[in-house]
Amino acid sequence: MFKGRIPPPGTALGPNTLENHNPEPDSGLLIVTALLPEATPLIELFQLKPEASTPFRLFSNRIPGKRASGNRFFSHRSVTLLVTGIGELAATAATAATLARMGPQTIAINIGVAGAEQNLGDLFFANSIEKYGQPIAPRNDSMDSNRSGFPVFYPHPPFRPRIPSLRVGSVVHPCTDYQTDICFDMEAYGFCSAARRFLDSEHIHSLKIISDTPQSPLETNSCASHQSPGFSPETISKLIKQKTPEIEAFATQLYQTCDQQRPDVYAQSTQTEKIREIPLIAEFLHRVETENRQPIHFSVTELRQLKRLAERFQALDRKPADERCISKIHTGREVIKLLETSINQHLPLYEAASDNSGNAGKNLIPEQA
Amino acid sequence: MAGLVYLERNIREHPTARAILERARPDSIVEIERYGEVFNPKAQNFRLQKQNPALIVAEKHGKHILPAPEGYGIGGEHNYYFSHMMNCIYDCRYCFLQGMYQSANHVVFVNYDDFFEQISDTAVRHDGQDVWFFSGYDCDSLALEPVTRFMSHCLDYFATAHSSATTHSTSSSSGAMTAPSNACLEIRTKSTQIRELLARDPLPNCVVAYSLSPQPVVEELEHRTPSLEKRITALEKLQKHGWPIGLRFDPLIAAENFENLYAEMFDEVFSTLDANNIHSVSLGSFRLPKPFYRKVIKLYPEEPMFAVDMQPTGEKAIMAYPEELESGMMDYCQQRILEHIKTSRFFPCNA
Repeated sequence: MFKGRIPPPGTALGPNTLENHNPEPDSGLLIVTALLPEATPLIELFQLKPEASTPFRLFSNRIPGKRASGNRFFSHRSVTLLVTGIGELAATAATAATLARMGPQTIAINIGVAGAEQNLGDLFFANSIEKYGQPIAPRNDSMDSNRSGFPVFYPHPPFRPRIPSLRVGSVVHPCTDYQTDICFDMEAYGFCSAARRFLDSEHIHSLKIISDTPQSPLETNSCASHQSPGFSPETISKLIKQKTPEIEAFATQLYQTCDQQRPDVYAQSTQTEKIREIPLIAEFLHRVETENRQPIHFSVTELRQLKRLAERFQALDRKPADERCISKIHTGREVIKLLETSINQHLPLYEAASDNSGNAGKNLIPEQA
Repeated sequence: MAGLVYLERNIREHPTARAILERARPDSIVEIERYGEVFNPKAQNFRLQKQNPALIVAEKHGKHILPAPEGYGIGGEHNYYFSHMMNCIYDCRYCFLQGMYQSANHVVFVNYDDFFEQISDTAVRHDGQDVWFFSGYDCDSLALEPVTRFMSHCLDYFATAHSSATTHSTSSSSGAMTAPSNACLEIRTKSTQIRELLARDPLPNCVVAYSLSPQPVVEELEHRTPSLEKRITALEKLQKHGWPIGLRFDPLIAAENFENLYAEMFDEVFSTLDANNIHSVSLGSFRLPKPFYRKVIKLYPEEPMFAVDMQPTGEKAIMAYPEELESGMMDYCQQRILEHIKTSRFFPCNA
């Protein structure tokens, strides 16, 4: 496998290299709607194109070489839109199938219409999502399906949204029992059930636009086929389109907040072979392997240890030292040992800022003087 | 003030819950059955939640008072701790809470009297011996006081210890709860919310103890906390008012410039405060249980303090600095502290 040529630093090499195999999954923004009319204004907003060869209707801005989105913030970020079809099962299946091929940092937002005794066209983010009319699990501290009742999801954005919040109850059949403190949809629960298997809860949200109210009720007779939700596709698209600025602002703020708090790139590497591509590691291994004229083999455990060592070097802003020992290294274990010895000699330096006013000003509760 | 409040359905009419909601002025209130629904599920991102934590108003069930870890104390024979809150509004990078809890949301328990009742029961079990109760273990004792007012109620309760003739007395003739005379309280904090303390008479059985770190460490690691200077000013005011004060140099953080950092802090502290009138000083090095340490590294892999060599120690698999480094830090600080404080008031922490 190894032909004696040492690839340059920064490139994958050696027996653990699986270039072009199982590439790093794409994270980014995933928008999930039930119906195409709900999706249409969002497809226009993000300038998405249909993806071929998928079992669900999928749109994205993934075009080789560039992103197609006309949206400023998302023009350089991956945006995918999934149309699941109506109902909990459809939402669960399509969301799970799509997220299974996306990265763990994906931001998933369910966007759709709902009914409530609120103003027509009002936008809410879901502060709780329940399977309406079904028994609730007494304590849903796990996702175990063998518990009695169904857990309630409590989405909570990692920032303070400018839009109001409301309970969402997902129903099996269209519902006209409009209430002020809850809106009814048919997919949010299925979407959440699936998304929670793949993502942190802070990455999963649901936005609902009020489409039917006591004054403008759903035409339930037309729902019998489940093909139409009881109002025209144009009406749905118009309601969503009116709220695209708020939807875009919410998605942008959510994405930015999650991005800012994301640990550095090393921690995101889900594939052990990627660890050899971390610049500091690649550079060091290149020197070692050049000196030894043979590749160093690493077990999966050793590759993970390498990743953590790279993080430690980066955190302390240091580079591996002791070049004299390089010629004596022949195994992965010896590489780890040398790097550990090198980084263990260092401690952080804490220096005072120009003013020492502390940082209490950032707090929610102002400190007393 | 608060964005979102989760409220347990069974306490929505509880007077303390109502008062907290009035002071917190949330954007919205979501009713829940039990706080565990929101607080305990896995796949929550502590680091993200810390950006906008929700307030969970709940009732505490079961044991409210727990034995303090061995080696934790300030001279008392019996040590217990309690937490009227879970989680803290500050964001100290070394805090064990971020390794212990799934959620960064703040849980506030409203059944204050149940805490006091269990404190009384516990103290009575140790008749004739001082029993210390440590507040601020799973939260900061004072930081959310403007919303909870827990400590205000707690001090009202501990104030009754003076009037209780024996350690057996747990209720007064009027029916109000009375603290046994052997019950002592430590209020551990980094907060400068001391208006309530300065407005009342000091209590000899209650120590206000501040966690102190060098200012550069405060800036780098103790996010959203008051500066060292403000903490020292608060201590000075409390001391002048007559409150017993405690200094907690815990955790010590390893640094390349460790001696300079800590020498400067000790100089500042002991030149401002009356060293002869300090109730107690404790000292402890940074340590974390191994599972917490692993979780915290995953949350903050880029944090320099976690890039320092840490090794498992003892049977409990506690991660600590290498022995030589830790003992060097502890010895240096001990020496500097004992230049100002009598040995009888110094309590190195071995927990």
